[in-house]
Amino acid sequence: MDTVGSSVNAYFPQLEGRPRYNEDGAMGLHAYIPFWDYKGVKDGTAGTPRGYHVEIGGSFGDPGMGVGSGLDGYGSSLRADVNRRYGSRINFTQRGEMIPNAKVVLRDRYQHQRQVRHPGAEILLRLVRARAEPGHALPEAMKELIDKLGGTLIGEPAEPAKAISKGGEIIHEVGAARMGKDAKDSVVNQFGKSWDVDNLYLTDGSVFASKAHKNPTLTIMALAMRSSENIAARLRSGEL
Amino acid sequence: MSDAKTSALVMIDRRVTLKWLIAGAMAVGQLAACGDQAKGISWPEVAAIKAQGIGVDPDLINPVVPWPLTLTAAELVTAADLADLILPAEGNSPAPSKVGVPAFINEWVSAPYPDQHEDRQLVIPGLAWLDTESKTRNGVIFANADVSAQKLILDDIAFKDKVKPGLEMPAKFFNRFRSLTLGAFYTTREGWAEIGYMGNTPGTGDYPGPTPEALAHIKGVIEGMGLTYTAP
Repeated sequence: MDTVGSSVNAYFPQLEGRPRYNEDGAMGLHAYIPFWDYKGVKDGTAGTPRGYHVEIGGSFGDPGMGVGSGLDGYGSSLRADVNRRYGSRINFTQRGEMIPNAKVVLRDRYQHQRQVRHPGAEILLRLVRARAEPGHALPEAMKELIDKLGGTLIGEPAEPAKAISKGGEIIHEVGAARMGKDAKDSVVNQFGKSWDVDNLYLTDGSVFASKAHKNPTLTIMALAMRSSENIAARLRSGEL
Repeated sequence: MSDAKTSALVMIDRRVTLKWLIAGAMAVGQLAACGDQAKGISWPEVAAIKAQGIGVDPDLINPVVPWPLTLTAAELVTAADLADLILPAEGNSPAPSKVGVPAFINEWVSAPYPDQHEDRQLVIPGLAWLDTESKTRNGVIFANADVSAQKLILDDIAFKDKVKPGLEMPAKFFNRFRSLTLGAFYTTREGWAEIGYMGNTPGTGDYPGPTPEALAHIKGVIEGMGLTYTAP
């Protein structure tokens, strides 16, 4: 699994002609909304089965190849447009939760390099309805917000299946050996201990049962600490 | 017309322009036959670049462009003229041709990558179209036409709501060339100075944050929306 990602950009006329200053010292993300539309998610009206957060950013960054995107004409008026618009763009980056489905597969894939067989893994993330929905709901919610704020979208969001990031792009790949309360439908127990092998613990992202919208590292560390305490307790009692 | 332009014309690449002359003549015929219903003009295919890319782990201390630059001298002259029409020198800002924009575009459209090939597919036939169109209208290639005549051609392709029927492909070319020109120009020191990018510079002590003027502007925006401004 990977976090479900989507992004929408807009220009805001209110921000045009902002007095310039060095904004490299401000990080790209200026504001963070830890959970968007909690009520809608709870009621089932949000169009996405789980929650998502929004990261809001934009700055007087170093101009890139997109500095002229969407502009029209040529000459003095074009130059004025570039200057007026600089620093008035806000990006709304959304990160949602991915729930595993039967089409999500992790399989062995050996790579052959210079006659050496390297073990590797291939992750197949297939789109199912539950994953497509947030891809639609997320940009739609941001469009509404942008509209209310008087902004202009930079390009219409792509159709749902394309609006969301490809599996692996958010770099939060986890799962495949999920934690659970029963050996029937999980690989490890609540301490990360394998159901099948008594002295085998998994202390990485593989034990996640879903991929939340947050970064997984701190959760992995917390779970590893929990596994360590369980190992230590079992060693002391002589069970291990 | 400068001497540089005259000498560049000797090296004009006829392969693309000949195709254009034929395509242009056909388009004129279609226009005459169909009036406003012309379906647009055909666009010649440009062969993909087969050359070495940057690859992995390049020497960033001694950067090189490993692929050959492919625009002809004549194409570079047209590209320079077009870039300078898009963003003419104004105030302290130099013309794009004075800060290497044509060379940048040459490097860009000569790169052996799929995205750059897409741009190449627009830029090379587009530059040739400008010459063909200018010859039809003015009897001379684009670079040798008067600025006012050049602008009349641009007026048919530069405004998205006013593209002359049939000129959709030249308009697409112009749109892309404009993006490349703006991207190339505003990533130079001169472009930074004009647009007001003040970063990429070392500082000491705490980051000072927004200026009082910038804060006053934001205060005005927030209060203008009927919200309460809280000073940081």
